[in-house]
Amino acid sequence: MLKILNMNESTVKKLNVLITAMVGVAIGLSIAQGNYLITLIVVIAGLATIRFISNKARTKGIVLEDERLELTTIKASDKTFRVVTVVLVTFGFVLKALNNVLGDTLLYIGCLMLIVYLVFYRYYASKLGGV
Amino acid sequence: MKNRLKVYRAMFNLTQEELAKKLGVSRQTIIAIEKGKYDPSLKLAFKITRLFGVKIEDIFIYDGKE
Repeated sequence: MLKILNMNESTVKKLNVLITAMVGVAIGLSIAQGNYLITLIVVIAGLATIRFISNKARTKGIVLEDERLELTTIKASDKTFRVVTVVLVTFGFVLKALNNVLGDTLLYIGCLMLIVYLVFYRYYASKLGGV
Repeated sequence: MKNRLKVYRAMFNLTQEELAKKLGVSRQTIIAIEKGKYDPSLKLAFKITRLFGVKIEDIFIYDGKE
């Protein structure tokens, strides 16, 4: 299939979007039907296909990831972490104030996220020459 | 940071695609650098200047912002 397609950066990106959309639809349908095995198979098959296409693209010298994309990912991850943590903790306190058990769960998840963040922060700080 | 990448690319008669391939980055990265939206890493900046055979300050001009 890849030989038929005149593969370039744009084709690879379109293929990845198409596969991701198909996997999303398949996951939605399989969860709706309560078949979690299909969900797992679909996720693994989707990831494997994307990896296969990316590897093919790399061998053809197509650049899919570079330092700008890496920086974009870092910034997006950082913002996502901050927003999700604040939302989790805020909702956690609100639900706790309303005596809802879910409040505790959200606060625990918030704490876990902060702990994981601290572990990775220390790891990268040390790796990049910090104390 | 300002840069003269577009000027040097034109001088060497290279397309954005060709330059991107030579530097091992995507065409979007070249576009972003030329538009001044993205400041390249020191490594990429050196790769660019070596490719054109000039000094780093010939292409990249630090204007003191950010």
